[in-house]
Amino acid sequence: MIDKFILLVEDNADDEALTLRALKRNNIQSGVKVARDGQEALDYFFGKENPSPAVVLLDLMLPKVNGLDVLKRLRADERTCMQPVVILTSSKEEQDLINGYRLGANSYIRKPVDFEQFMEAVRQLGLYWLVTNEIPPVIQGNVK
Amino acid sequence: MRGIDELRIRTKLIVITVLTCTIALFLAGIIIVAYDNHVYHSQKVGELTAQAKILAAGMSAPLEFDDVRAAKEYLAPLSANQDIFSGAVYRHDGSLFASYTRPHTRRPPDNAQPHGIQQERSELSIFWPVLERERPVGSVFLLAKIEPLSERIFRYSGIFLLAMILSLAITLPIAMRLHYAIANPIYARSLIEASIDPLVTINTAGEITDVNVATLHVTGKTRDELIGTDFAIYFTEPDKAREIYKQVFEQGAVTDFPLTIRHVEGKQVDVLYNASLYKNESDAVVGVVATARDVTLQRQAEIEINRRTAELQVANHELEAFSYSVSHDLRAPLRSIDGFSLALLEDYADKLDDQGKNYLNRVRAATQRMGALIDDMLELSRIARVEMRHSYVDLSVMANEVLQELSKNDEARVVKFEVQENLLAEGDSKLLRIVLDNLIGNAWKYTSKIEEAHIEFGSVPDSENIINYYVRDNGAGFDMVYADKLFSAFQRLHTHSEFPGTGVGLATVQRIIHRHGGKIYGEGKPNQGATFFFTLTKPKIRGETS
Repeated sequence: MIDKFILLVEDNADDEALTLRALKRNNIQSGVKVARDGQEALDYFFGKENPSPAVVLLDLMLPKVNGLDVLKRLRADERTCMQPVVILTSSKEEQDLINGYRLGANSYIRKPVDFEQFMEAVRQLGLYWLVTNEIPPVIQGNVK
Repeated sequence: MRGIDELRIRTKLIVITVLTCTIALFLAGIIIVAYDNHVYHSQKVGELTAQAKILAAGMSAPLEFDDVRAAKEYLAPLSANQDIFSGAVYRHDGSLFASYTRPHTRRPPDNAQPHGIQQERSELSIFWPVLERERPVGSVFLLAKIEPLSERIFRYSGIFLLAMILSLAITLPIAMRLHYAIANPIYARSLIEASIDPLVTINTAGEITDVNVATLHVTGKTRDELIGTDFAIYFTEPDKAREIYKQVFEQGAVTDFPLTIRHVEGKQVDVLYNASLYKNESDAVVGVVATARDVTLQRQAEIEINRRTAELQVANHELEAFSYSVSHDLRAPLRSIDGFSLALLEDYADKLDDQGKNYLNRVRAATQRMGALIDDMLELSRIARVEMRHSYVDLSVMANEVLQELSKNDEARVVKFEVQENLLAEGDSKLLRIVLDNLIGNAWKYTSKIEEAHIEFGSVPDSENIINYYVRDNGAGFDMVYADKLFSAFQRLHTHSEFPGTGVGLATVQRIIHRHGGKIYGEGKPNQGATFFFTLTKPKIRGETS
């Protein structure tokens, strides 16, 4: 059995802490790796041979390389084009939604202000992407 | 079509012809009558004098010998001359010696009178001395008919009248025919000048043959300078102008072709060039009539509009960037405040007393409320910017949907709905849905404390092309004193604890209605309900709207 884990791409330390707390409170035991800007996220995938996460939780407003550009690069590369990516952002601009899906996001979640609602969203996310959802074999095979 | 001016010219020409003719004939008549009368008079006098002389020469012997018979014999041949009424011979003492009188005419006077010729109306009389060896021995008298001047004038006027009629009969048709030759060029010129736009006629060789005053103004040249020159040289792009000129011959006409005319002083005028062929009476192409409409102002307006549009686009982009950062950056700290407040409540519950927990709950409530405010504010700004997609919308169906959703989310409440059927509108269905969501949502909210809540959606006729829709409730209502605050963002007439809300809903509704070109206003009384009216343009399709 291979350990599934989440890659959280998030520059805001508060949001990181709250997301981790939400996962913990929801008894999602899988590991979480964190990239704190877009470049770090890209380095994770293209720098060295790293295991692929079950899902990437991707913020849009990121330093250096923004979330949509990260997504574009992931989709453009043979190795990562099937990587499940969930956009997790504060923005509910129509344009971001459209661009997100156009670039091949698997899901788009807007972070609610109410932490209870946020917890619920994270719970569903974790459950769905780590338990319910089957990830493609290429990614699975890549996992060490 | 004949203009009044042309008719005037025609009339003028005919009047002038007739007048000239009449005056000429009249003057000629006077001169002829005067000359003729003079000739006639002197001829008559001459004739009568000669007759009197002959008579006098013959009468010296009868007078000498007192031979009345011989005298009468001399007088008798006078009857041969129709014009002579009477003749007589007088002795030296003046007494009548012998006389002849044509029947029914005046007799000679009984006594001789001084020698000489006298005219009295239609009679000419003469007394002439009879001489015997240079010595007067008596006198002769002759009375002859002469035509009086008045009669002659009368006769002549008849002749002149006839002559006039004859001459008019000849000159009028000539004048009528000639007037076209004279009036048509005048008419054509007045047409050319009537054009407000610069107008030129160009011959088949591309030379200007006629221009109007507007052309002089736009080129700064005089008529003489322009006529006979190549029309193309007055444009900033002569080759293009010639190309269009060719097109006119190929296609018969060219419309709204943009060109630029250069004034001698260097000023340039943007024009739309329109040209078509014109022909003569025998249907042969004479050249091209071209007008140039000055569109400088339109051009300037266009440039101005483009500039403003660009500015607006920049402003819109800035606003979008601002909204984006508000949406992202303002919400992030709120999420932290709420998240960590909850973390405190959950993880440190044992270390907080009830007061502490209460405070934290208040912090959480405030953050959530601010989150809602930010969302509504973003929605308000989004609605101002979002592109509208017009379609036909059944507001009745939409209102029922809104009411059903409200009922579903609040099943405990019993509300009586009344929705008028077939209320059609034309507009952006998403935006109109927001209008009804807000107005009916408000009605729902403000009737929450009423036992028998009643919400009504309907329409009243406005003007011919406008429909006035309304949402009415019997809820909390409002004081009309504050009516002007209803539609201002973040202005509320109730406390949050009475009725929750951010105060952005009606501002949003107003913005949508304004974007649809409509009006919105509210009527109400405290505790007696409120009615919100909004107007929209009547949809162009047929439908029951009242």
